[in-house]
Amino acid sequence: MNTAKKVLDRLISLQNLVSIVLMSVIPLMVVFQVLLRYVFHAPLMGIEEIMLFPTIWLYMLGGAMASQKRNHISCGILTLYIKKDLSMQIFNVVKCLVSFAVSVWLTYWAYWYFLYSLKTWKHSDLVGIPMFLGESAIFIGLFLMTLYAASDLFRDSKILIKGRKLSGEGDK
Amino acid sequence: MLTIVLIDVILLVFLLMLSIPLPYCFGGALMFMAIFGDISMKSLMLWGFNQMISPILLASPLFILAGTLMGGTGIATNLLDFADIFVGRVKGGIGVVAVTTCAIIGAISGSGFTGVAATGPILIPRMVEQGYPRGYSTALVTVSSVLGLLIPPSVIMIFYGWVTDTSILACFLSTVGPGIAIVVSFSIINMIWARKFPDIILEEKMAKGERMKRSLKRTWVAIPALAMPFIILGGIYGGVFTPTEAAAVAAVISIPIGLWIYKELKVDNFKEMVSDSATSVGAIMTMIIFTLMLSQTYVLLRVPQAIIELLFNITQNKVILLIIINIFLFLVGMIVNDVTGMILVAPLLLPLVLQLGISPVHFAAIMGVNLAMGGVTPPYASILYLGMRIGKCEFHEILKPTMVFLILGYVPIVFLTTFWPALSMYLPTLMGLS
Repeated sequence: MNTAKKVLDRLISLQNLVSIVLMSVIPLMVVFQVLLRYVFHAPLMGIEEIMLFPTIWLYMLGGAMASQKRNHISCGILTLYIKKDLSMQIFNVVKCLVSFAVSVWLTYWAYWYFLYSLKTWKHSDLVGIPMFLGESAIFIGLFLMTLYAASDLFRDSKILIKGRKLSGEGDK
Repeated sequence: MLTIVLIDVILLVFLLMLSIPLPYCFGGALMFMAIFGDISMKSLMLWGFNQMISPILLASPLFILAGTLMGGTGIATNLLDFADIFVGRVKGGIGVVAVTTCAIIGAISGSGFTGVAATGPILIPRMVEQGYPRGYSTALVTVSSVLGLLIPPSVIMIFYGWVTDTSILACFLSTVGPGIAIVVSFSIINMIWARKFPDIILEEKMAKGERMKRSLKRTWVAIPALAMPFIILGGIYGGVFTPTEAAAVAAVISIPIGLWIYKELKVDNFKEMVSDSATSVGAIMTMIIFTLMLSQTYVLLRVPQAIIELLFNITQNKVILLIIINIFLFLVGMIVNDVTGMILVAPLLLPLVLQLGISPVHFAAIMGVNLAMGGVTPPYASILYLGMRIGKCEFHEILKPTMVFLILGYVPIVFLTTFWPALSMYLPTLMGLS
């Protein structure tokens, strides 16, 4: 269990680091292009196309980070009416189960797209970078999101089982 | 087939009510449509990726970063101090400062969250110290933050322009009139209401010279912060930058301002801010992509045409139809966030409003004012909840003032925007963009 936790922690650190780098690099690339255009009067052809790759990775890794930090936006109407701890624990497990099931289905289609991209091996129009380098981000990002959804489901199920056991002992 | 769509919408609302993260709510509804609605996921995946790499879309993450950096670099604080120069000694003046600062911050960040996140921690305690009730102070800052979605550059207008293929610059300008009208109406309500608070403490009177010296100092310090909206808006409308470039410039410029001028930015909090921005970007973009794919399934199944037929069967009266559209948008805003509402509903309703003879730019303003209000109307009231957390106040304290500001100050502007096109169309027409 400790090894799995260590691997997961390293994965999270790496994902965090890459996201920070991407989030910092993208605005710099845009500003660099503006400077080239106005200061040096020599806009670089294809910079917008190159930017697609970090951008798509940022979207998907950011999505994975939001899953890991449980930072995805949600509506939260029913939670306002659930008062009992046990009801909330059951509710959380159902919520995680639905999220996990949907995430697995989406990842399945992202995997199809990953294989499709690998098979067709298209190149970007101007710079000729293989599109697979960007398109694969969808599968990786959704795979990570599914991993975190599974981890949430595991954690909330454990809390529910532990809680029920404790309340059972209390009854005795 | 429309029965399937109806079941899908019910399923979507059910998933939303279960508090499932939004990407999975829309993913779940998409899954239902792919299984029962005869929709090809293969072509939808290819279409989805092409939408995702649109350069227009990149403006949103960059504005998120710019907004986060602004909140942590002292820019908001200095804007507040500057606005305070003019109305510091007027009863209710600090309320006007709140409204105008949120409008100015909206002109930099493009979002509703930044207003409340950046000004709330400073303004709410300051208002409470001056004798304003906590609930009132929090409500005023929170409802004013909605201006961030209306004063350009606005992120929801970028999405509207993107999904409906309308000029983004024209969409930006369409909400300026309604935005200014809201600033005026909120300020008037605040000035009248503030007279009823008995314990308001006004700033001590100063000698003229001393006051002048302080005003000059505050103006001098606020110059870099004040320059931001000029750089962004001047850049966009002067044809120097695209909205995406303006967002990147704003983000990059806020770094030296925070590091060397206001000295509130440090390496550690910079890393934290960038990481938070990346997480927000991911949360929003993954949600957007599945919302967009779901919306596309509805378009493929000719739902917009069905809506047109249904509504025209009920009535052909333009006024009644527009009222129905407003109520529908208000309800959408109550259950999903502004960006989602925009992406999901704009492609569905646009064919209908075009048949009513309404221009896409005017409709951008109608959608903008309606969906922006959704951020402060429960159950999905993300800006209101954030305001409550920052203002440290309970729901029952904030409810009454929020409702008063919305009903008396906001709803009339929604109707004005809908039925008086000049309010939203004047500037786009003036610039030759409509």
